[in-house]
Amino acid sequence: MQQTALENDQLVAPGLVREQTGVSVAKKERARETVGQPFVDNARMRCRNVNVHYGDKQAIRNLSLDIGEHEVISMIGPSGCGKSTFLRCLNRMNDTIDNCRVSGEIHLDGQDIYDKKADVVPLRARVGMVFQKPNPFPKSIFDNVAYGPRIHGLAQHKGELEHIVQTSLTKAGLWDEVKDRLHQPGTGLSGGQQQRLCIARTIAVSPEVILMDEPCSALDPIATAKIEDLIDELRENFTIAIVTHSMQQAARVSQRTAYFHLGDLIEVGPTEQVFTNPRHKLTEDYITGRVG
Amino acid sequence: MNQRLEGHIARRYDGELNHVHVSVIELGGLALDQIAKTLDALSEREVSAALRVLERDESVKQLEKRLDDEIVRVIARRAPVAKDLRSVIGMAKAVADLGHVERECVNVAQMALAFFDHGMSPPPNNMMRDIYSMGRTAASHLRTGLEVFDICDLERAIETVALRQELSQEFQCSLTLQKIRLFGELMRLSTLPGNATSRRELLG
Repeated sequence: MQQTALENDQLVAPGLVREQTGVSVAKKERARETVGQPFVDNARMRCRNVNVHYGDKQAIRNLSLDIGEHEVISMIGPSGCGKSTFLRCLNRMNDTIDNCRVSGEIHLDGQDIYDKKADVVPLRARVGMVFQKPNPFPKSIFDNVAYGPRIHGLAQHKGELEHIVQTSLTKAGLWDEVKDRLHQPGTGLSGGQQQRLCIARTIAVSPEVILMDEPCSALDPIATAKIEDLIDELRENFTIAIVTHSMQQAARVSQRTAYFHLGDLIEVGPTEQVFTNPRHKLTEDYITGRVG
Repeated sequence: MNQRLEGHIARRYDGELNHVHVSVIELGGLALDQIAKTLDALSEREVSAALRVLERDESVKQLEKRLDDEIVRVIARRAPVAKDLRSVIGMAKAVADLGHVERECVNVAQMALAFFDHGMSPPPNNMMRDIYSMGRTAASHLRTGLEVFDICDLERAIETVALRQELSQEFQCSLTLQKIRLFGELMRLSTLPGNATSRRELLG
């Protein structure tokens, strides 16, 4: 499998063929075969032959990948490689973009999330998302966390809601820091605390999968370390897919790493193997900081 | 420049890795020279060669220390991964191994001084010939290893590693032979009256 992928790369130098003859363009449009282990036995989400187009531009080509239960999978790659696009496919966030077309199959616990009858509101409760920039609502800390359980009707009475808020803030490692000021605005917290508040808000609706799109890129190293520690703890209860530009973060927090390049999933493997002995030259070039 | 280590977007990183690489080769060259001088001291009974080995010990140690520091700096600043990580770890191990070679050379050179300058009885000639031969083999193996490391020749590296088993067996045979000879020599000395000093010297 590896040899095939390498041969493909020898045929088509990355980034060089866009303006060449039709033959070369045809070669470029052929998806590269993924090297490594994209599939797992205990898959929570199964993605098969996923293609994403923004208008005429293809952002993801024929991607197949499993996301395993209670694993943290990190997605790395240069800007524009399709990793965030793929992450947003997993809870249909791309539906909000007019000219975005998604084809292929994405299943959550065996259910096709792109089924015409599927409702995106419960889907986004089951597959929560944490964004690059902390985005607490302009409400109190309590209301930020209570918002989801309220709209999804998860709490029958006030005591239950308070229990959910406390549990979520505790799981997000924020309870001790905010328990005495729950009714102060969430926007008054530090950047790292705001991000943990967003994580608490996400887990308050008991999702199965948490998607994180560069969750630490706006945070200092101490806040980053707290979030990474939290990710490790959350793994016991949730499945986590994280997009990161920090290779060291991917190496620290994830069990599997997926490398994306120009819309192709190039390599997936155990994180320690990807960072010590990657099988694909493109992966190696990227993680070692060489021109790929 | 070593092609395996270059090609980073941060060109300064290429320079840092290549500098470590070249310094490891330099340390290897010094270690080879130390072995050659040590063997000269043993086989040719050259006291000056043994003294030269001891004189150069400090500069070799300094280079070893400088390389250790540089490797730590590269790890701290660049956080190498994949083949860069393997290269850096490989070079760190090579520095440690070459340091070990240096310390053994110093030990043997001191022994040569004891034999040929301080009046201690040297081992019999046949033992010395065997030791010299083992030293030559080890030096040749080290030279090949350094050449392979310098040009990053994978095929030759595999061949060289395969030779290790053979070399190790050869060494074991030679060592066994030395022990048998040593035992024979001890037995011979024990039958002679008044040779307690020689026996103690032989036992080290």
